[in-house]
Amino acid sequence: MLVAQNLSKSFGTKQVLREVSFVIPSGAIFGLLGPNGSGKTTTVRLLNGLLTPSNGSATIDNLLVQPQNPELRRLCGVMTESANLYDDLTGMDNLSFFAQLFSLPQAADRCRELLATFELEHAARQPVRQYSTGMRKRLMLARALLHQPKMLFLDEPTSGLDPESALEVNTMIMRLAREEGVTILLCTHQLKYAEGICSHYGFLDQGVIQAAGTWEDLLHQAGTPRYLELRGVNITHRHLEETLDRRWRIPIADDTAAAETLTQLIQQGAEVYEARQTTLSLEDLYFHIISNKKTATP
Amino acid sequence: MAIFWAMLKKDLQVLRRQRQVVYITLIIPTLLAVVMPLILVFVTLQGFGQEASGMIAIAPANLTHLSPDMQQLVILVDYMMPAYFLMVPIMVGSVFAAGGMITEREHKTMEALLYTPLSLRQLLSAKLFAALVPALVVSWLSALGTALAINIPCWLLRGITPFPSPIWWVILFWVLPLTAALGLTFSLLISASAQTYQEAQQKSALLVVPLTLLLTGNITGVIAMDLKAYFLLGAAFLLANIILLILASRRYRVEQMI
Repeated sequence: MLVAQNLSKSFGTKQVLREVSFVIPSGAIFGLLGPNGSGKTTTVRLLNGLLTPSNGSATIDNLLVQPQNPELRRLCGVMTESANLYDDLTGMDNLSFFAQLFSLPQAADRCRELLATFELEHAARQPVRQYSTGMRKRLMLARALLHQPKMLFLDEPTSGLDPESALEVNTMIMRLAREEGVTILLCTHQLKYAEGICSHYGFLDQGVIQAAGTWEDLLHQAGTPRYLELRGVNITHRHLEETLDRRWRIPIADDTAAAETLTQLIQQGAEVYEARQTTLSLEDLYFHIISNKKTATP
Repeated sequence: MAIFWAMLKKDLQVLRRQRQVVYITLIIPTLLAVVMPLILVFVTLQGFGQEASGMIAIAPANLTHLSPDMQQLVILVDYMMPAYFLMVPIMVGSVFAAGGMITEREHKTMEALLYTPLSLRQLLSAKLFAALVPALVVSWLSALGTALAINIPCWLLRGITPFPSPIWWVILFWVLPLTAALGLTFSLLISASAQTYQEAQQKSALLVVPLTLLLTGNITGVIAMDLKAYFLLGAAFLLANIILLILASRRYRVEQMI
């Protein structure tokens, strides 16, 4: 589990992060969402002890994040564009070098295993400069996983990948979280991508976390209702609203309320042909929260 | 120790692709340790039996028992050539050190190293080791080149092998490693703030200045470096290395390296 408490960071007079707090439960995939320059990379560097916070603290699996802590380094794996591969070395040599720095036992076997997992066996002896963007991304992910970290930081893991490669990487990320309990912090500005893979979200804008939590938490924080949308006849309810496409909708709080309302309507004689819950998309929710916060801030 | 060898292997694989590094490590030793001694030895041997040159006038007192011809040869081999030769380890050392540190920054690979369990001290030590080993190998190979460049013409023309004299043994195994280390530690200090390889190289070139002064001093007779003087020079380089290492370790901060 990762806990960040009031993390702030200034470079000279410029404050890059301001009192950033969020919690990532073990095995969760947390999407840190925000535009370029919002402070995502600084957050990753702070959480890895590469930068010292001006204020605040963080723990990962109850281990205090501090600079140059080898225990922390063995706990975390990082894949980011600012931590490049050695272009002149082969894929195998890149992995072997880092395996040696982590003092891994049976390093060669582990490297071969990862190359096979990421379908890079055929290119193991090729210099990385000859790799495609997708191959580089996969090798970077393999390097981050060399020492089997319990916490993984991923920065735009699928940017530049073709749909097939992106799907493979996403499947791998979800498998790591679900089956191996790896906690994942994923930085991206692609909201649709995050919606499909993350279980928790943090909206970062201009160095400030505007909202954080699960989908339910964010909907609750934003005060945006969910609706039970219906198509049918004889539908009566005191909160019934007609939609533009001649359907009906009733505000609901959660899944239980949806089930209860539907049962009640049917018992009252409603003929329901279609029923579904509707709410904002992650993209709509993001912009809704960000614009509301900006309006609220003088 | 395994991380030191891993860093050495990796750095050599990366640096062999750096044209500048390859050219400098080939050209400087060839010029200073082979071509220059070869020319000077030939010129000196050609002057044997002729009127004594100005070099005799600056001959140290301990050489006066030798014939004027031999005095000239000893002054050349033991008093003038070491200053030329010592530019090899100092320049090669600085090239490898700057290449090792700056290319990590230029290629954006430094951050990946900082995500490993290595402490900053371990990382810098591994980097120094990875630069020192090739610098020593190149310098000692250059010494072999110097030995051949001096001894082959001397043997062929006069039947003598003046290299290595006692002064050269001290130079090769006491002054040379410390000179290479000086190039490394100075370059490490410079690399803490230099943004490009060229910038680091230009600043590291400052180290050649004291050796040029030494050379000028030897040629003009102002300084006559004997065995004792080379022991002292090595000791001074050792002290300089320690001071530079302390300064460099203070200048490196993880935050500035990314």
